[in-house]
Amino acid sequence: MQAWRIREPVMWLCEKITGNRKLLGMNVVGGVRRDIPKSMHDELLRVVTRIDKDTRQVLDAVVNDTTLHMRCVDVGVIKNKEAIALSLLGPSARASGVAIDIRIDHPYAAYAEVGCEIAVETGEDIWSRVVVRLKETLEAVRIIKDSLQMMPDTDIIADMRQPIPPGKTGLASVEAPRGETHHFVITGEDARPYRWKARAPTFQNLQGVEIMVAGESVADVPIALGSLDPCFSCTERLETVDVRSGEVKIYSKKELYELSRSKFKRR
Amino acid sequence: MGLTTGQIGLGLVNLALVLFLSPLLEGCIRKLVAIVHSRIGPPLTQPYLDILKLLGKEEIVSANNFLFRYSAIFAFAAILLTSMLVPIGARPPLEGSGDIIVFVYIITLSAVMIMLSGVSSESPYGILGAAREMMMVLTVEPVIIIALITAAIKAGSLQFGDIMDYHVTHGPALSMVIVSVTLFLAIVAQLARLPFDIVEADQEIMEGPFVEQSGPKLALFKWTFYAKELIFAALFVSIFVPWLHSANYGLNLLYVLIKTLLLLVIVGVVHAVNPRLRIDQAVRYFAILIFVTVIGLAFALAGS
Repeated sequence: MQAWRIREPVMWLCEKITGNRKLLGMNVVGGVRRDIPKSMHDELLRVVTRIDKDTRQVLDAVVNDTTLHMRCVDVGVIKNKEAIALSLLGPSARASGVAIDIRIDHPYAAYAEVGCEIAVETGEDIWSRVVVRLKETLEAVRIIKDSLQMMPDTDIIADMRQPIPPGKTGLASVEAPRGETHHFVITGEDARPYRWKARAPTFQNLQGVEIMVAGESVADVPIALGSLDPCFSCTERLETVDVRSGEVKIYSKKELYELSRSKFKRR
Repeated sequence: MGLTTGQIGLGLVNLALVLFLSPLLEGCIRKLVAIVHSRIGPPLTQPYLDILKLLGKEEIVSANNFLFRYSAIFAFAAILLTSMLVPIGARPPLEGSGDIIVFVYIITLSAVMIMLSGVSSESPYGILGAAREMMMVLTVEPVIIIALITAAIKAGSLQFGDIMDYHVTHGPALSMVIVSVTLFLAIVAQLARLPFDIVEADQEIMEGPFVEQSGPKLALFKWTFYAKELIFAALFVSIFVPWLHSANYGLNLLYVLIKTLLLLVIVGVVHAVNPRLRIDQAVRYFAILIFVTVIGLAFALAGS
């Protein structure tokens, strides 16, 4: 509950900067829509310092809680080798000792200049994932403060007056809160995309659920699933297994539509 | 063995308190938990509104058997009977018909009804919840029984009225202090409060035994829980924290209600700052508590 309270000033700030609380809508082809005016820098620093202080308070309050340790330590374990074999990403992998982060491996935007220290834990359980995420919050505050200081006074959007030629491919990889996200675009006629595919990290992270919960009690399933922080809309396959015959069926997009619509057809 | 008019009146007052005051106490706990959570929380009269709303809702039945239809009513009836067996401000009105043993039987009846509502609902979540309730009952009831018997041994009688009168005149004893701590934890578990709200764990098993109850039946189950809060808290403060007593019934009732509110405030704070235990961890925890309560009993038998 305290985390919601700590997060609320961020939403207000986002609204002041972009006009929206959550889905910011700031990215355009070639740059961003709006700049952060100099008058807002002080407020930004104030809010961000407050978040750092409150997060440390929450961290101190929970880091030694025995009951939390009883529920989270050695529960939902994904070993280092399994994490590498399943290609887990993001905090789920970093909590199992796999030090991958696109901000370090293939730096994009300004990460090469601002730098980024990733948090890697070797506990391999739910508690390690919690600690990784808390440490990342503190690191994000540091990145914001340093970026504000180093911000150069240049344009916020590149000169896009040249027409975009068709048939070109583009691949962008960023570090989302859940792991590596890749977007692949093939340009088409009339400056529109011909193909676009987004590969979200949850698509791989969910494979870890099988290893985490096999053999555990029902009570551990929600927290184990939650510790992976899955975004279910980022998964894109529906697979059903007939328990009696063992037959596995994977639904295509057309079949999924038919399945959903058939429930509402008049009989 | 007829009842005097005084006892009938007292019985009606107890019943009215348990029925109509307990949702307000629940509202106070919810508000307190919200304040600890840094949020505004529901108004104090929210539980009344919840019960009224549920009583008017349509019932969706998942199974058509006797147990599913009547377990809510039996649980509620058991709790209402209990309200007349416990002392709230004065000696219990039905004390001629029941003492500690009958009290424990009827409390267990209400817990068994919760279990049966889960099993009879034909839902896998219900059965999971009923299994958890079974494990909790088996480990929490012994703590309650042994604690009450410790109090009875010191007083030399199994009647709540006699126990209450004895402890008012005698100061705190070592055995009573030990046993009151474990009984407090057992009450937190009986009231389904964190860290022991394992049976009703919504995030894990979708409300457990109550997953298929809806409408008036769910209202009765919720009311049963609110009533249990007042009954157990009043019993605890009457026997284990009896100082600040008055011979005047009205004044004594006020003292008991104030102490009950303070006890429920402590229960609420414990609820707000603790995560939930797993069922196997809770069972192990209560096994240790049973052991500690038996030590308290041994002290009582030895004379302190």
